[in-house]
Formats: sequence, structure tokens, C-alpha cells
Amino acid sequence: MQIYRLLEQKKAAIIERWCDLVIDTYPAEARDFFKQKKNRFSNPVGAQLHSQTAACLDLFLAEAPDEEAAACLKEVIQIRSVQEFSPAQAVGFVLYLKQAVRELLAGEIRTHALFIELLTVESRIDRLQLCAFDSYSRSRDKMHEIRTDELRRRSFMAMKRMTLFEDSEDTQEDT
Amino acid sequence: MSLWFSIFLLIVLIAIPLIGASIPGFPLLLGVIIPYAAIAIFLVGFVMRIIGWAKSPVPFRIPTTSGQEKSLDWIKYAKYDNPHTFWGVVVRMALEIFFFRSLFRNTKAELRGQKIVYGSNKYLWAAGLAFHYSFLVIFIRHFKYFVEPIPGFVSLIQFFDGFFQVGLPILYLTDALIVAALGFLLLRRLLDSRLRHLSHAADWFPLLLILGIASTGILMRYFIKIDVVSAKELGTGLLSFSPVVPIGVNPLFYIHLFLVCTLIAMFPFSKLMHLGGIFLSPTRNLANNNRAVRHVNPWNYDVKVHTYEEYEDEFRDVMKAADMPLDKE
Amino acid sequence: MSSSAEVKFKPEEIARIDYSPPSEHWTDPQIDFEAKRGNWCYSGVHKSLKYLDLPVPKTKFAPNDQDWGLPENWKEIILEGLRKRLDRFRSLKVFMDICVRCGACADKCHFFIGSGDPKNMPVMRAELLRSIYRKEYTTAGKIMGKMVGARDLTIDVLKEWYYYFYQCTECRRCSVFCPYGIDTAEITMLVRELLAEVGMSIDWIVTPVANSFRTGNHLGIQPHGVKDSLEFAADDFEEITGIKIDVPINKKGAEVLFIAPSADYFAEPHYYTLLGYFALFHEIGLDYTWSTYASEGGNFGLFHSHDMIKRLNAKTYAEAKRLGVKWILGGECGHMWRVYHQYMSTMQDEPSFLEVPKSPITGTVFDHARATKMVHLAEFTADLIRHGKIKLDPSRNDHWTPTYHDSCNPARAMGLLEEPRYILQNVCNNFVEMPENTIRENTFCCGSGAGLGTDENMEMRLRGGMPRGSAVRYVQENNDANILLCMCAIDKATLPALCDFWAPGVEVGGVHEMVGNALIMTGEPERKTDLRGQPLKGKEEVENE
Repeated sequence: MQIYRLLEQKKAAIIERWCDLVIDTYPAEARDFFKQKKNRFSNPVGAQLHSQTAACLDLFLAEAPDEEAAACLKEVIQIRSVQEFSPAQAVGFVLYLKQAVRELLAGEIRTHALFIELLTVESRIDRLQLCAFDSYSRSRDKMHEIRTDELRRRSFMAMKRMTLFEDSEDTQEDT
Repeated sequence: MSLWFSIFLLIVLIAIPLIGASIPGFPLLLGVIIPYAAIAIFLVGFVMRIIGWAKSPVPFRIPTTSGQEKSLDWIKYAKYDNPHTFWGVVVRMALEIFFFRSLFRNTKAELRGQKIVYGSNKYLWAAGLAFHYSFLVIFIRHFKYFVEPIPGFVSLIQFFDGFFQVGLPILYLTDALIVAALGFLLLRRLLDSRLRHLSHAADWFPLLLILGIASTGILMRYFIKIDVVSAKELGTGLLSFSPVVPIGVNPLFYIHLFLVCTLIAMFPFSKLMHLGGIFLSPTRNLANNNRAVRHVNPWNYDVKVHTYEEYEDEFRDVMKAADMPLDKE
Repeated sequence: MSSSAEVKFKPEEIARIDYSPPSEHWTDPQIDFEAKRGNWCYSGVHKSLKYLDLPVPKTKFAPNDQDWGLPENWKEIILEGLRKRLDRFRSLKVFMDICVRCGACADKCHFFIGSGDPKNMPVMRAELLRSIYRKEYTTAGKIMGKMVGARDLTIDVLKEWYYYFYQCTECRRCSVFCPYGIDTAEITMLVRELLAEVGMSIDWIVTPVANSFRTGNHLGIQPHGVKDSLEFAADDFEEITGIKIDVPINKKGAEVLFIAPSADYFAEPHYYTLLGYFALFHEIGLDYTWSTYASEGGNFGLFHSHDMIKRLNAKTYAEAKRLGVKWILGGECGHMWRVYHQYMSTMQDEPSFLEVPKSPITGTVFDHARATKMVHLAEFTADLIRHGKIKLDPSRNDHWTPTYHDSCNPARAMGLLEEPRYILQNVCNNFVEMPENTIRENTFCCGSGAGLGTDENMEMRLRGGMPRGSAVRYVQENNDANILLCMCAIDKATLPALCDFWAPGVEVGGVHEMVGNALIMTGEPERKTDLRGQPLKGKEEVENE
């Protein structure tokens, strides 16, 4: 489709815009900090955001299956799932890709009458969004799992004694 | 808003001498009374602040350790980043005061391709250092307006400051540096969202004030010549306690002087007191020899503790049942 | 169809949506606790507060309740408390006055890096208190108010303090980078003291403190329970290594009193470090004893108040005196060592009944501990290895590729950096370091220290631990690191959560667990598993048979 070619041409700008829109969901004071891309260790949020949105868009434009493209966003979603966002705010950022595409391709879409193609692209973004919701949900599940695991580790000795007790009861019953 | 407030304040401070310079009696006020008052406020204020801080004791020895501690003989320890002795502390403090050691740490790691490259974020350090040293050199250069004959070290510093012999009158390196550094520090606060957020008038105003002082000074040296002889007469007069009020000096001079007086007077009551405070910071000025030398807390008081006797009294039965040794059977 | 749509459809207009949250001025203290679940901790239970004779709130409250049951004169108490502390702590007075807000600390806090919440910048965290200080104690603040960053003390400010000062792990990373050494840990400690005076404290601090005060350990396990656990572990040890060991408890006349964080004998993966201690002490024949009365090294008082540090810490010397030991050896713990290193000798009377620590095996005199008479186990073990007094087979750790996390307090309040590394280089073959600016004095916190390692604030902990997590992930991807070692009980309790989330597949362990694995013990049968019961490298098949 023609629209993919246009998107490919403007890929860098789209990623940039998409990231900016995501970063705008953070407190104003932190935005300049998160906009730095390179500091993987001193700024993991910004670094992950930039590298993963880029990877996602690469696959998206290569028309890879949507699940694969969405999988690239896993860690961004994981990060947002433990930040101070509501579930909608945490995953809704995928839809900002629509906004970035509309803004940057507005002229071309009108000139070449690419509305139908745009709809296809947007439907695919909707599917990315659904996949993102799955990721979010898994991440939250993981967090709750971690919570219970931690309690278990904390009372490790008690658990160990308890199982031992059960074991010895079993053996007694056996004999 | 606090930025606008600071700008407004600065304009008012400029307007006062600008208008006042032509009113009879005002030069006396601006040239003699206010400078003396400012210096008096500075001296009293500074001493009071230091005494105020020093009055509170240092109950615990809490150095922030930034390197290996002194422990086993064969392990090399960080003598200055984690000092064990008094002299180690002296060096640590000197590094901090003269070279801004901690700011120099501002590091970052960048991922370039697959390789991590350790860079450092030294802009703040460099600008801070440039500003402070330029300020110092300019301060020393100004001795020539207060004493006659001009001391040798002042002329020497002046010579090196103008080493490149650019322009006429010769451009002082520090004049350019201080403006650049102040500009950077100001822009940094303006442009970085984090810093904009945390700055208030107490941060903007000193920056703008010093920028005002520097620009009026530069204007007088390079662009609008003033009567230097009269200015020096005032300076030497002030220092020898026999002030002479010069007549007909350019108002620009009074603006410069008035802003300097403002800076001097506000110094003890502003964040500029970090000059004194850094010497008293307990995380930097103490040796990390806690386990070797006992530090005494002057207000150490007794607290309620749970003694072994109380403990054994409560658990004697279970301890006995578990065959554990007891103090009292 | 497309041509008619073309006229009305202006994509850029449809797209114009403002997603950004409204930015309020920072002096506004309002916090919506209900919406911020996962970011705060439950308040202290009354039973624990009463046991410790601490101020109790009028009502039982959760932070998302409106009424926190403050006393009528809460404002007086806070202001009087602040005045008293300004007179007592030069640190507080100086830190209130000299900050130039240069911003060097801003991006050094793991909570800011993870959340982007501006009040998590160390400078802003301190401003939360400074703003009140200015209003009450400076002329400029009284006159110009908000313009110079001053504001009134209200109940909302107290709640904001509760929210943000229990979002600081007292890790001191910001203090390393501050040109004036301003230490947020010190400010956090003092604000927490103030809050406790009006009954505001968190349960994961006051209940462990109450337990430690009463029973000696933070879980409240009674003496026979401690004994039982240690003996059970000794049996377990015998099963794994084939070596029978003695566990001396409350033994009078032993040469050395050994104190470890109590999690070492109750929790996992601490437990394997305990087995490591057992191996080492047995092999060198150390004449030592455990204590049930002073069975908690990890001093939770540090997270509460200076008084509470002292109340718990008093047990150490008292027990050393009662048992008649010569000196004290301390196990793997972080905050415990901040107290033992920086507070103990000042708070307690001189322990004249003890001797300057001297290793009975190598004869080394630990002169740097001549006042407190207390040595860190890593120092002790490093000295043993240096003198060749123990036989090690590092290949027994070949199934691990360890990396080492410097715990905040040993790193930045002590400087214990080389000893653990020296040990690890001798007991493992595959040790790798994480990136330079995430270790040693620049180490990133686990995000759960200083009493925050509970479960109701898991979101906050995970994002605060992200900087550490991403460094672990890096060595996992690049060097196949599969275990994160540390010398801190809180780390061992909370890093597994962090690794599970940010670097799944990386385990967490202790330095002396690796020592225990590598240590060749006299008369031992061939070791087939490590202390976790996992098969050693090259012995997997044997296990399967």
C-alpha cells in the first residue's frame, strides 16, 4: 500500500512524535529528562521508550504480525504498569501512534486520498492496542505473583518446617 | 513568576542609583553610606550565620563515603574520597572547595551501538568552576581600585587575565568567561524543565544580580568610559576610612556599586552562604574512622531499653523447655 | 466518497487532544491517597506503638482515610520538634540553608528515574521540609512566602511528608553527587521522627521495631523458635554437605559474638548465606556464639528515629558483656552496618569489657575497629583468604555467573567495596561487574530499603528498583549473569522481586553462600550439590541417576 511507503519515509519523525506524546503523559518537570534517549542506566525509562517504539514501528511497517510488533512494547508497558497511571493511561499510549500518523501524514492523506488505507493502518494500531492490554494484564499479574512469592520467601523457614511436618505425617501413615 | 519578580526587583535596583545620581546628597549615600552599611551587614550577618550553625552540635559522625574505607592493611583505600585521617579530610575538603569534586562525579553511561561508553556530564561542573574562578579573579583585580600602589600579585593576575592581548582596552578573559558561565547557568535553569520547576526567586535573583554587576562593569571598561581616577579615589578613601565623594562620575558607576552593595548585603541571608556552609557539612568534613575513634555526642541521653533480665523473665519457661542456658533458674 | 470526506476530515484537528496532566505548583501539597494506591505503606498498628510507648493516633487510620487522628496540638508538636532538632543537628540546620538548587542530585534518585515524579528529586524532597523551615525561621520566608519557596504548615503538608519521606530509601546516592554533601537520608530520618511524634508512622517499621525490642528479632520469634530454626538449618547443612556441625547459642565465654540479620535464619534466599556462615565457622573452628536476645542485626530503629536506633542497638553491647565475649562479628546486612559503623560507638558507652578484635586464625588485629570492637564478616573472611587459611574450590560455583550489588549503606556509609570483591574473585570463576556507574559508591538502591520493603507499595518498589533492574538485565544479556549477590538482608528479601520483574531468570544470593559452596571442608564427602541443593556443574548426570 502506498501509505506504508509514506510512513517509511517519515518513520523517524513518527517515532519522535509518538515518543513525545507518550512523554507528555509524565509530569511536565520530568519530560526533558525522559526525552534523553541514550542513558540506558541513568535513564532506563526514556531509553526503553525510544528503542522499543522504534523496534515496534519497524515491524509494523514491515507488515509483520501485529502480535510480534506489539511484543516489542512489552517493556514499556511493564514500566508503565508500575508507574502512577490508571490502566487506561498506562496502555492507551499505543493509540498515540494514530495521532502521530494523522498529524505527520495529514497532507499526503488528503492529496492522495488515502483514507481507506489510513483506516487499515488504524485498525492494525487498534490490534496493537489490544495486544498491549494483554501485556499490561500479564505484567500486573506478574506483580501480584511477586507479592505472594515474597511472602512465601519471608516465611521460608516456617514453610519448610510445615512441609517437613506433613512429610513425616505421610510417612507415618504409610508405615 | 518568581523569575519575573526577580527581573522586576533588579530593574528597581538599577533605577534607584540611575535616578538618584543626579540628586544632591545622593552620591554621598550611594558612594559612602550604603557601601559601609552593606559591608557592616555582611560582616555581622556572616559571622552570625556561622555562629548559628556552629552552635548546633554534630551529634553523629556521618560522612558520605565515596570510595573504599580503610580496613585491612593490604587493601588500598580511597584516602581522599573516604578519608580516615584529619589530613585526608583536609584534602577532601580542598578538592571539594577548589575543584568541586562532587559535581565532577556527574557521570553518565551511554549506549553507542552495542558498546557502553562512559561519558560524563560535566557542563554544570565546568560552568560552575568557570563562574567561581572568574569571580575570584575579578574580585582580586578590583584591589587596584582600593590600594595604591597596586600590589604585585594583582598586577600579575591582571597580566595573565589579559594574556591574549585581544582588543583595546585589552579584553580580560574572565570578563568573557563570567558572562558565558552565568549565561549557561541561567539558560540551564530556564530550559531544563526539572530546574525550572525547582527554582524560585532566591535562585533567579542572585544570578541576575551578578549578571547585572558583570555587565555594568564590562560596559564601563569597554564601552562607556568613566572617570577611573575619581572611582579609585572613592575606593581608596573607603578603605582608609577617609571617604571622598567624587563629583560627576557616570551614573553607570553608581549602578555598578549599588548592585555590588546589594549583593554584599544580601549575602549572609541567601543561598550564597554555601560559601560558609560547605565548611560545616558533616557528610564531608569528618573522617570515616567511626569504628576506630569514638565520636562523642554532647546531648547523648538515656533511652528506655529492653534488658536481658526482662527478656529472660518473659521467656524463661520456653527457654527452659528448649534446654537453653538461663541466668536465673 | 473520499472527495466529500476530504473537505470535512481534517486529521490534524481530530488529533489535537491534550493528554498531559495539569501541572500544579509544587507548593500545593494535596495528595489523593486513594488514587495513589501502591505508592504508600500502611500506618503503624496501635499495639506496636503502645508497646514502644510511642504517640498513638486518636483513630485507627489508613492513609486513604480523611481523618488521621492527629492530636489537637499537632502543629505545636511539629514546630517544637523541628526547632529542637535544628538545635541538636548541625546537619539539619546547614542542609536547610545552603542548597543552591543546582540540580546535580535531580536525576540521581532511583525513585525519580523510575517515576518522573518531580517531588522524588532529592532537592524537592528536601524542599518539602525547607519550605516550612523558611516560613517559620527565616525573615524572607515570612514576608515573601511562596516567592522564595516558603509555605504554611498544614495537615496536607504532613500527609505529603508521609507520602514522600516514606518514598525515600535513605540510600545516600544523592549525597555523593551534591557539591555540599547534603544528605537526603539525614533529612528523611529527621522528618520521620517528626511524623512519629504525632502518631504518623508505617507499620512495616513500627511492628518490626516492636518485635525486635521484645524478642530480639523483627519477626517476633521467641527464643526457642530461634534455636529450633538454627538447629534445623544445621541438620539441613549436614544433609547437604555430610558434615555435622555445632550451633552454639547464648554460650557464655565464647570468644566471638556473631550477629546477623534475623532474616538469615527465617527467609529465603538468606538461608543459604546462613549455611555459608555455618560452613566457614565450623571449618576454621571459630569459638563463637549466636544470641537470641540480640538476634537482630538489622536495626529497624534506623528507619524510625535516633532514639529507636539506640533502644535496639543497646542490646548488642549488653549481650556481649553478659556472655563475656572478646569481640563482635557482624554478618551480611546493610542498614545494620550503618548503625554499627556510624552510630553505635557514639550512642553507647565505651565497651571497655571487650578487646580489640583479633582474628584467632590469622592473628590479624582489626585496628580499624579498635573503638567499636566489631568487625564485618567480609573483612574477616577476606583476611582468612589472604592468609591462605581456608581451602577453596571456586569451580563449585561454576554453575553460577555472579554479579555483585553493592548495598547502599556498606557502600556510602562505610566504604566496604573491595572485601566482597576480593572474596568473590577467590570463590567464583565467573564473576562479572555491572556497569561502572551502577556499582560501588554509585550503586543503585534496591528501592525497598529503609522500611519500604513491604507488599502494599509494590508498584513503587518495582519502579524504584528499575535502575538496578536494568543494570542486572544488562549483565544478564551480555555476560549470562544468573545470580545477583549482595550483602544485605533487605536486598536479599526484595531483589528477587526486582529480578523477577526486570530480569527474570536471575537469582539472588549472598557472598557467604558462594564461600560456603567453594569451601573445602575437612573430612567432607564429595560435594554433589551447592547449598541450595542444586547439582554442581558436571555433576548433573550423577544427580539424575
